[in-house]
Amino acid sequence: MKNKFKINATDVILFLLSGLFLILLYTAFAPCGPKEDGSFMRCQWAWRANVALAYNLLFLSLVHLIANRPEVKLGLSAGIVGIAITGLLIPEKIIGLCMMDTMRCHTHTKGGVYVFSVLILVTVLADIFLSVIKVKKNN
Amino acid sequence: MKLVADKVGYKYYRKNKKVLFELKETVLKPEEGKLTEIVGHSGSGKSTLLNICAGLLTPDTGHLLVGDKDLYSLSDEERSRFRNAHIGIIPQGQSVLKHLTVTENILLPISMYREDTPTNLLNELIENLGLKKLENEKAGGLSGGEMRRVAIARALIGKPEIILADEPTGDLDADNRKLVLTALKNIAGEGKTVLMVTHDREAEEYADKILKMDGGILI
Amino acid sequence: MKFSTKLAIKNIKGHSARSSALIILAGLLSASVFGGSLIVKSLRNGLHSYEQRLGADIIVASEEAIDSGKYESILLQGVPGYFYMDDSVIEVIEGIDGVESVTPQFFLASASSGCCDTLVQIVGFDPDSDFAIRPWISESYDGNINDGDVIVGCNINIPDSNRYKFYNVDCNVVAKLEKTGTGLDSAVYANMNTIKQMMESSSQIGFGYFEDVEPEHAVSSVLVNVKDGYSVTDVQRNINLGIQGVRAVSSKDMVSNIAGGLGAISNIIGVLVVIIWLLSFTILTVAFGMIVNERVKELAVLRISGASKKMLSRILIIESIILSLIGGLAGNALTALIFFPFSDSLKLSLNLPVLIPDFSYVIVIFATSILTSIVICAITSTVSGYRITGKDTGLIFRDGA
Repeated sequence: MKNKFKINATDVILFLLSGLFLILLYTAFAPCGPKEDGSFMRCQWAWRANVALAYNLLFLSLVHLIANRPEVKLGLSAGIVGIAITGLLIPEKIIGLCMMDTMRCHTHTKGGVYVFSVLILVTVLADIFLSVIKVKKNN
Repeated sequence: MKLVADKVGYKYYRKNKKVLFELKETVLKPEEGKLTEIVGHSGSGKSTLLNICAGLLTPDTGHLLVGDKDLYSLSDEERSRFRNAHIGIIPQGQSVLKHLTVTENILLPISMYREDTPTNLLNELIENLGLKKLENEKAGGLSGGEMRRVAIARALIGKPEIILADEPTGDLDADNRKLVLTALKNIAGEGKTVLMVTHDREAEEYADKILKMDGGILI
Repeated sequence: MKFSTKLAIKNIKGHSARSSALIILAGLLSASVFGGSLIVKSLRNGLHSYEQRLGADIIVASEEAIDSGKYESILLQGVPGYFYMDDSVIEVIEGIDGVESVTPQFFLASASSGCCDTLVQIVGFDPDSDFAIRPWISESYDGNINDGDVIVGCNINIPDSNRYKFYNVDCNVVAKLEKTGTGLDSAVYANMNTIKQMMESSSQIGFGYFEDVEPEHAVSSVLVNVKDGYSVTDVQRNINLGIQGVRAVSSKDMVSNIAGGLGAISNIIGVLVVIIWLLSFTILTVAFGMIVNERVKELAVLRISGASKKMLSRILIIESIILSLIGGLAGNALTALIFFPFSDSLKLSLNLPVLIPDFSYVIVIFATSILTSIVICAITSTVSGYRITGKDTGLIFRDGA
């Protein structure tokens, strides 16, 4: 059976959110740089972990964008859910940030990671919901 | 059920309050079990008279008696329910809800006030009007003729005693025209009051009674 | 489910572009009310908390500390700072007519050590005479503050070890304070003995904070309470006139400075919310008007099928309620998602105390703003619907709309 190639709104939103998240992680959401002695604070490692996850998100959302079969999309979405949840947990639970809540990693990086992770999660959950309906319909 | 338009009149006004068109006081008594046709040129007042008969246009003068009810003395709620139960209307032009399926469109009058779906009648109408393949399609994708047939099925699904059709064959091809006119003739044959407004000459062959309208006067 | 509700849902699903546009408008309306109220309330809470935390009628510090704004920066933003004067001022102040009680405070900025530390404001107080910090601490800790114990403001994250080192003095964190929304949230509190240990240690490791002052006799500020029946302004003036090199400021003056800034911001937010409301209201009215005009034939089909004017109005209202509910929920959720994680950034950028209202208040304004959006949408759709349902259906078909 030949499937018609169709891009859904959630595919595009996911891709745009992932791309924007990565760009902002390097700009508006970046934590403070190295200390005077060249060493890094803990937030740097949390940030790097989030950047690595953001690259993964971007890659998966790109594949999600061009994938055609709802079953494939469903699998990719499940992966995105996992990555987004891991990203959410990095700043406070998995790695942690610096000492003061007034520091840049708390005021900018953490907020940015929370906002984008939740937006990506909501979008991907909506996409899963739609994909499940499609898969059921196809069967 | 008897339908009597007793000296009904209506005036359309221009913006400057001058009268644009006047339906003169008219008496109309279409018979039960017959297909009554009103013919006339465009703008002669046929549709105005039909809309008054349908309870959709409040006349300036006169009364509309349907059975033992003076339709325009009822409240809007009562008149609407009465129309839903007793009058089937096939309006001019395309009259479907495009985002609903063919079946949903046909069942509109039923789903408004009634719980049970008349499945047998629904299937019969879909079959007779050639809509079987389209029943689950969205109405927005139908052709003009198909939409008209959906409107006919919708008008008949509530088993009304009175059917009012405004140009039901307008913009239809020969086959569809025949299908629609035959259907209306058959309905009249079942003892219902069928009133049709048209300027389709071919339709006259199907009529039991033909009335002519000109300049707002029924001749 | 009733016919009107079923059809309203189908109408929304069937016209996704139109529905999305209305959802966005309703969301904007609701989010502006929710966000605006949240910011204004947080600022007001912050001011109230600041007022409470000042805890004294008059604050006395060195002229330089007050005039340069260092003192206010510590209180508002938690920017670490230090300034000292000789503790002989305490005795002089106590002797001024109208002074009921005094208590000294000592400010020390920590040195940055460890991988994730930053400069922290350390505040030393005298537990025996203190009347400003103790009441606040007692909200979260009722034990003794022994030597080596510290209590941290809520902005400071406690390490797993529960210990911090300041100037090589090992400190045990015994409690974390309730949030105040002020700079005091970024400070560490200790008794005077602990502070003295830090001072000694700081001198040993080469920090020259106490060049002009004897460490044993240094204080940063003195908080003063005025006896009942005495004027704060008079006592303040007498301190300023009687002691050279210090500046006495009344808490009221400090609060009114902040209140002025807060008032201006509240006004700007208020005006913005009103503008967004007017715009949304106008756009919604026009949008619903256009939509109803576009749907006039659809409504006429319902009329000929037996729908009453009331039923048509009900369908339109249910549609607008569903759309505004979805829009309001989405708009408010997005606002909350942005506001809460970035509230500290807001505090820093406004230079005002920001204290987020409690959960129940947030829920109330969340629901109220959605309700307002629903009411506005329902009114505008009813007005548009009335224009159509007021017309004879026969005329609609005749006009060919």
